[in-house]
Formats: sequence, structure tokens, C-alpha cells
Amino acid sequence: MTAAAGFLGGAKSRLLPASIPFRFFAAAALFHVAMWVVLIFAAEQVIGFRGGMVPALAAVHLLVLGVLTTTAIGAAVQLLPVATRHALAAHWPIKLVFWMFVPGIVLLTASMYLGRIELVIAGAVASTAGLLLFAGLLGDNLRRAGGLPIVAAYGWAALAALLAVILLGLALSVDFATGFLRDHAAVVRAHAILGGYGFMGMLALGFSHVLIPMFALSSAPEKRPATAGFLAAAAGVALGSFGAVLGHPHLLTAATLVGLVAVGIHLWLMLRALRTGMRKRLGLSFILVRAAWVSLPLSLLIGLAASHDRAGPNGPALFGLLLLGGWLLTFLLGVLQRILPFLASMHATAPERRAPPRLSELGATAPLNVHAICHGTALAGLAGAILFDASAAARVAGTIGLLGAMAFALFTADVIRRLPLASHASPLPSGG
Amino acid sequence: MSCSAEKPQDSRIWNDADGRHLDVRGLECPNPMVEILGLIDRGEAGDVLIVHLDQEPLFLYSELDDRGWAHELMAEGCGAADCTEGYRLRLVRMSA
Repeated sequence: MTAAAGFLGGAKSRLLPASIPFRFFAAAALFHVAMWVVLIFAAEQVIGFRGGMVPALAAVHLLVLGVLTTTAIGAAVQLLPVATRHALAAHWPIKLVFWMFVPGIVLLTASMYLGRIELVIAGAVASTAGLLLFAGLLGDNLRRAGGLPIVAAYGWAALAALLAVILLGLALSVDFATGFLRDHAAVVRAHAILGGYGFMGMLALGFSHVLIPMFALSSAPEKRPATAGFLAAAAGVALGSFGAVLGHPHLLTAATLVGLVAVGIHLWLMLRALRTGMRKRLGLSFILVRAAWVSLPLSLLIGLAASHDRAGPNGPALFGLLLLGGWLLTFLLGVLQRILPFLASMHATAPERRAPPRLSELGATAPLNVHAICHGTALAGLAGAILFDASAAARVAGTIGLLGAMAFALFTADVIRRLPLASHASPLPSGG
Repeated sequence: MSCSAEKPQDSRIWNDADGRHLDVRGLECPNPMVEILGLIDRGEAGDVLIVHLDQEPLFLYSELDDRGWAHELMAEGCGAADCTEGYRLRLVRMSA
């Protein structure tokens, strides 16, 4: 077993030290809590939010940058080098990403909450610098992802969207101080589409092609429909972004229809993976994943209605809730509660051990149950509050969401706490 | 093509003196894991299964553990004398 153990150590060199991905996950868990706290205090603005320098903007960016993007960075830098078999050349760039990006988000969202425009620009610059460095690392790894063509295609599209989001985000920050943009609201819409469906959406769809079959133990989706789904998704995001910037409702309608085709293909592939998979009981996480899959097409339909002023006065807020909360956050939390123990088990495979600890050893389930109930209730409550323009209901929903976020943070802390203990668990029987 | 030195042509599964062999190199993720577990779940893996892989299947180990199979990484390479590519993983059934 000595030679095997040595070899295992070599193979594990593609894994980053556990402290690197898990610092991103821990930060995301804290931002998740902070997001609900801000939402409670900004409930009046949240239910009718259409953009602008108000505290609700801080809640949106805590969610998108703090929770979604921070988690995506932690997962991508850990999973991609393993999948592509090419380790990061050095650890310091990703550590630098963390130390630029996370404090940048804190500064950005705090100054958004307080309405301090000069600090918004400073926070945007710091978080942008971190994102650009991450984009470089992601691009370098995608370049080598020849064995995962669909994931790589989604990754490149996400990267392109990220660069556009950064550019528009910086322009919006500066515009708060200078007013140089001709149509601030149009750029906000394009920024939202590129950030929600472009960067985060493309990453979510791309990683789904590996993660969902892996969880269900089914074969990878067929190349041809997967490629068609990717092309439709990319076209939908491009059409939607141009339609938003140009203020062209027909382009937005076309983008929605193309987007619905992409969603249809994606969901067909994913449901087929579940149907043909060897593992039928997928647990609580897939209740969240399925709820997210329902929210994705709903977000497109509400977005279409809102773009034609047919979704009521708070239509844009409902669209944002379905896109960011219903689809992206719900999907991410569903997947994250499975991959956190997975990643922990990868790190816990010490050379002296024959096998990693069981996944059930690496995360408590009670906080996840509490989180799932609170998360679903909070989103449904928020949707009702938006529809009926009831800020008190939004505050109650926010409080329930906060409880759920605290439960999820407890789960994350528990996985991290158990990690070193798991690596010292008693070895399994010899394999040879 | 040194990396197919031990493998009969056009076959992913073959038997040898040291056990049953399964070659999952070149398959897209997560198909290698699905092939291995499928063979085990269908009862076609025998008692010793040697798997030839492109990369170490880190996510496979807990699934093997759940199914009562132990694993051991063998020497580096596909088995040919001059080959350093890929991995060989020896799986042993520990329970009925």
C-alpha cells in the first residue's frame, strides 16, 4: 500500500488546500445571512425594486456577488483542476482573488446600503479586480478542458458574460456619480440579464452537465442535444442583453423564446439523467434543485411580461426574485449541500486511509431540513409580498429566510469543523 | 499504442489472471464512475476488478465504500512497461 499511498498523494496534488475553497464557501454562507438581514431592513424597497442607489441594491449584490459568485469561485477553482487534470500553477493568485473580492463586496454592499457613492466605486474596483483575476484563472483552466466540451463551452460563455457584466457594472457605478450614461435603466437591465442568465446562469447550466448525472449516477448527456441547448442559451443571453441595452421589446421577446427553448432542452436532458440514473433517492437537495428548475422558465415568462409592462407594478421585482432567488440561489443551495461533503471527503482522503469518510459523516442533516423549509417559505412569502405590495409580509418572509440562512451557515460550519476529524477516522478494511 | 498493451482489441472488459479488467479511459465525466458502479451493481464485476482510468476517481470512493468494496491504487500507468499515463485501481469485494 506504500506505493499506492504515495501515488495517491501525487494525484491529490491537483486539489487545492482545503482552506482555499472552504474560505469562499464560509464567506458565501455569511453573505447569505447578511443578505436576508439587509432584506428585512430594506423590505419596503425590495418589493418594488427596479434598480437605483437604495438599500435593496445592497441585498441584490450580497446575493449575486456575495453568495452566488463567491460560491461559484470556490467550486470552480476546486472542481475544474480535478476535472481537467491540470492543477493551478500557484496558490497565491486564488488567495489574492479572495482578498480582493470578498472585502470588495463588503465595501461595495455596505456603501450601497448607506448610499455612499464614492465608496461604491472603490468597492466596485476592488471586487472587479478580484473577478478579473478569477476570470484569468478560469480561462486558463477552460483552455485545457478538452475532455469536457459542453462544460467548457458554457464556461467560455460565462466568462464572456462576466467580462461584459464587469464593464457594465463599473459604468453603472461611475454613472451614479457622473450621470454619463444616456439610459441608466437600460444598462441596469442588460447588467441583470448578463449577470443572472449570462455569468451565473451559464455556469449553473454548464456544471449541471457533470454534477446532475454524477449525483444521479447516470451517463453524461448526449452531445448533440446538449450542444443545441448551449447554442440556444448563448443566443438567448446575447439577444436579451442587446434587447435590454437597445430598449427593443421585440428582441427581448425573441430572447425569451430562444431562452425557453434552451431551458426546455436542458430540463429534458436533466430529467432524463434522473430517470436513467442508478440512484433514485436523491434526497432533500433535489427537492431544491427541482424547485429551481420550475423557477427558471417562470423567470423568463415573468421577465417577458415585465418587459411589456404586463406583470403589474412590481413585475421587475418579481422577475428578480424568480431569477436570483427561485432559480440561481435555490439551485446553488441544493447543489452546494451535496458538493460540500463531496469536497470535504476528497480532502479527508489522507494517505494513511484506504477510503474517504462516508458523506454522511461530513455534514449534519437537521440544519438542512430547517434551511429547506425556511428557504421555500421565505421565497413564497416574498413572492406574495411583491404581488400584494405588502412590506410587512416581506419583512416576515425575510426573517424566515434569515433563519434558513443561519441553518445553512451552521451546516457549512459543521462540514468545515468535521473535516480534520474525518481525516483521522479509523481506516477501512484492507483492499488487497 | 502502449496504453492499450494489456487490453484485447475493441473491448472495454476482459479477464486476466489477476481478475476482471475494465477500461474506462477516454470516457467523458461522469461516465467512468457510472460504468464501474453499473458493473458492480449488475453483479458482473467478480470479486476483483481492475479499472483502467485517465484520472483518479475521487468521487467514486464513497460509492465503493457504500457497496462494500475496498479500493487500492496500483502502480502508475496503464500497465505497459513504458507507460506513465493513467491510473489503475484495484477493487476488491469485501461483503456479499
